[in-house]
Amino acid sequence: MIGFLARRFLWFVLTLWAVVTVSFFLMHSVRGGPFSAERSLHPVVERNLKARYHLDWPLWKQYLQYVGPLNLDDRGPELLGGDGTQPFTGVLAGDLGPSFKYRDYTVNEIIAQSLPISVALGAVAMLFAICLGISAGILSALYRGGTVDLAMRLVATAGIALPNFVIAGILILAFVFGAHLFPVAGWGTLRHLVLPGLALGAPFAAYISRLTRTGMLEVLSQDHIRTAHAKGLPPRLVLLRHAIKGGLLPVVTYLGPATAGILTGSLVIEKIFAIPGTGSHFVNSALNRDYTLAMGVTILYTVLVYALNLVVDLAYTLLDPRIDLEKG
Amino acid sequence: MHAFRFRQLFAALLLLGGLATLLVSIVRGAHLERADFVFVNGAEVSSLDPASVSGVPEGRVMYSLYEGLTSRDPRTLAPLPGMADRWEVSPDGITYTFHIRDDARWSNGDPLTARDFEWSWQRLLHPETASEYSYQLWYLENARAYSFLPMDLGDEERWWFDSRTFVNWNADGSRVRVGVHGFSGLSPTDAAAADAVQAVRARLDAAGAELRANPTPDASDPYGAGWLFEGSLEAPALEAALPSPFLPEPRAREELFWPQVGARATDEHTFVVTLASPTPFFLTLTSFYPLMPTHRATWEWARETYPGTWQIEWISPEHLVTNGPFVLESRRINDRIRLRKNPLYWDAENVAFRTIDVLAVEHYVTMLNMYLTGQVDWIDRCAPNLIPRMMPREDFNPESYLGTYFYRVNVHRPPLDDKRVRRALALTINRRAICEKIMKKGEKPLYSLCPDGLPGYPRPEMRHTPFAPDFSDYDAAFARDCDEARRLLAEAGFGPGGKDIPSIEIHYNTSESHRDIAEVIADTWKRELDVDARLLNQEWKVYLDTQNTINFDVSRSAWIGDYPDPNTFVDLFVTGGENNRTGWGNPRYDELVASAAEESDPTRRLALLAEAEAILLDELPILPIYSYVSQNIVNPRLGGFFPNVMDDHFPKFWYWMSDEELAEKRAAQPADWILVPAPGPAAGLFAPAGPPPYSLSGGTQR
Repeated sequence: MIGFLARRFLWFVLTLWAVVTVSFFLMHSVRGGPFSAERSLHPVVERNLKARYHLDWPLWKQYLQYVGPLNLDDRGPELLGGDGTQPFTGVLAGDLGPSFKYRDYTVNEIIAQSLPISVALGAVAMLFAICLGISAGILSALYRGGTVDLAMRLVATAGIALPNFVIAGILILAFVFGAHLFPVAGWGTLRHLVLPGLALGAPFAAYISRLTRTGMLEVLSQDHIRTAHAKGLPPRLVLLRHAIKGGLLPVVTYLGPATAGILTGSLVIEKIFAIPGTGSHFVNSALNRDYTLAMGVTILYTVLVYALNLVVDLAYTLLDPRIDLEKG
Repeated sequence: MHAFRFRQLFAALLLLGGLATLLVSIVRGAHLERADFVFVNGAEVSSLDPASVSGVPEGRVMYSLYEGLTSRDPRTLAPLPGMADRWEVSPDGITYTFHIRDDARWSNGDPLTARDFEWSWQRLLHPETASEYSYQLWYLENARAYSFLPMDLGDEERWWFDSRTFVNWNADGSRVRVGVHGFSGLSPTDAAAADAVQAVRARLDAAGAELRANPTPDASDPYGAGWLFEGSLEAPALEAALPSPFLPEPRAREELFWPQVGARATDEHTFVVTLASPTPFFLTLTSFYPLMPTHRATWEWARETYPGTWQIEWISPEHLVTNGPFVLESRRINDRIRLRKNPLYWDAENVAFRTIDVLAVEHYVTMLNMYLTGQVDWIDRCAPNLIPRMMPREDFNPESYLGTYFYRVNVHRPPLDDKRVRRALALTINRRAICEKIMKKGEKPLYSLCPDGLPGYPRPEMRHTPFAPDFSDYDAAFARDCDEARRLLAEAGFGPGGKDIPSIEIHYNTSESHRDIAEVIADTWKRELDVDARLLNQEWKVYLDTQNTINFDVSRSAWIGDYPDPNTFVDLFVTGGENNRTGWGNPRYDELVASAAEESDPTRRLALLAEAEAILLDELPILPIYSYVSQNIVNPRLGGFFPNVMDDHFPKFWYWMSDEELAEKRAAQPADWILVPAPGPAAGLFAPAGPPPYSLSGGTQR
């Protein structure tokens, strides 16, 4: 177990370094900068702005300053508005820098404000995906070939085929303008999260229901289930005690990618439902050439996806003792 | 077996329980009661510091939180008293004396004095602030030179100044330069400039430097300080040779130069401003947000408490001290800014709303949905495909404002280097199709740079066949313009019997309506002139880069006026201006714009600007297309909200109409407008303590 974790950590560090390096140089090689605007800055003002954010340095030096941990800025923090020098800086010191676009915030502050909201949205979406997906899958498997099965599979196919913003539109029409049940957009209460959570979770619910159905069908046809039935166990118990466990293994496997998908999928949903999460920054920061914020969000997502995959791997051992991480 | 199942169950419960706890803890505390008034402000504002923002959404927040020396009438935008309750202007229009009102207070109770303005303006101009809008104060004497003071660039650059000259050297003294700086009033190309530096030069030569004259001193050096002599000298010898004031410290430089800038607090209540030349719109500028004051004590406290960090603590909701009708209560990025009425504001009794929520929502459809479900009371744009459905409603009334949509032309690329070709292209734009079929909100076809609505301005137009405002005879007029265009092309040697016209690329930023317009124009050019036009769309920042490097044939552009004066438009196209971006330049044009700035007679000044614009419209480095209209969709119950030429709106004046007032308003509007729900308190929300605030009389003008 320890060896496994150590290996994964090593890979994690390598991956993160690669992501930081590649996105840093990609980001800076794109045309246009954070301060270009329809109203051009006076060249002197632009020079002063760039000097404040080190954008006048050669790129390699900007990179070293960004990664840290040593502060290469020998001008002292005069420009930042203080007088003591700060020896450590950069990503390695946990400092993601100032946002170029949202001048009142550091990237750390922006992430601290927006990430919990994205997490809440993701959690709701995940709850919907798991609850709806698993129940639909089990129903389908139990009534295999029947009308229920057909209906569920049809809905699931639609859920996979339709992009989440289309689902969002349908939900808004039905539950805001049709049934006046939920607010159309915004953030503040759990009610605000229902529709976006549903729209975001729907495609994943559809996948999960398919996986559950397949898994359940496979398990249900196995010998030990037939034996259980033959022993005279009530069908409910057979299902709960013997079938679900095996039938859900593929679902657990899928949870890792699903979480990653929900995280990155939230950017569209956050925009449609005006939810102030991290997802919207992912797109906007790139469009604004807000280098630090774009880098910060990229790093954040890398860490999250990596960590979640690790959790899923660990969860395997819990569910299926046959899986041995040391060998895997 | 049982243990295994328990583990599973436990894991599942843990997962679900964890998710639920997380949810509850995140959502708890996020909820806010609906504010008295909620509006969608477009993109998240980039800052709450008036000195570091530019942009319409930022402006609305600034007008709530802060107030300048003057404020603006919400209808006419004429200056109203603000932090200054009266002011005097000298007869030559150079000196303004503002008297700060006795009851001017910061939101923490501190008295607001003239010194706050002096400090805030110094901060706006200071190179360290690197304010995008510092140029709004360059009308002040010496302010421009102050903005150009070299920043401390570490070991790379060192500076020495006296009242007229500067010496600039690098760390080892291998490059020493001597020249006159921007405060000297001398141009480096003057003979007098060389005389001024003689004394310094002699000292350096005596210390062993050998200075050579610069054959091409550059008057356009961004520091306003072209150098005249260059050489080398060991740094210690050099520093020994220079008499005091030797000013290595930026702070000491400020002390030397700030007193020369024309902004002075003569006592707590008197603020004297000296302009470089008469600027008739200066009282409009003093109400513009970059010139609003910020609280020095908080700013300095944050600087000392959080040294060497990027955190901007003085602006956080816990600490921000402001002086406007509202204060900042809370802020969540990309979500909302909650404003609360400032009880210490001098005119607080005339501020109706207790709370205002400013939402950051960018998606067209989302904001319209929020408006239609009553979550917000005002949105400032309408999804283009919904315009025909919104037009008949009483809550959608597009009004003209000072915005111009035009194409920039690269005047160095053949065939566009020929002004006859540019004129032909400008004539062959079916402006009716663009206004009526694409924009659909009542945009007006434009044949000039400045849009209509500039008071007193004799606006010139490019030559074209006139037509009635309702377009009834447009087609005939347009046909005649196309004939003229073909004649011009033939005259330039193109078309049948002449050379083929190289194809032209229309460059625009990715957007549906820009594409539609470009398609209409390309189509018309092909049909009427047999000119091939290709479309090239680019993502916003790439598009800006292409435009800034003038790497296009024809490029979609727009300009929204900063203040209601033609200067904000005409000033764009002076030779080499950073917003020119066409490569065009005309010495006579530059001269006219410069002499307009010196002119104190308002009528003559506008005539000079009109003469300049006429030159532009004769040479046509731009192809004018249409002028903008606003797209506000606003709750019909909102009072104190008026259309104006800047599409600026001021939260201070807003209130909810009572049912009676709403009925009165509806009785006065055209009968065919569709009435829509007007949510809000039926009894109105306005403290009728005094006369409506916008009828206050202005300051005295001598």
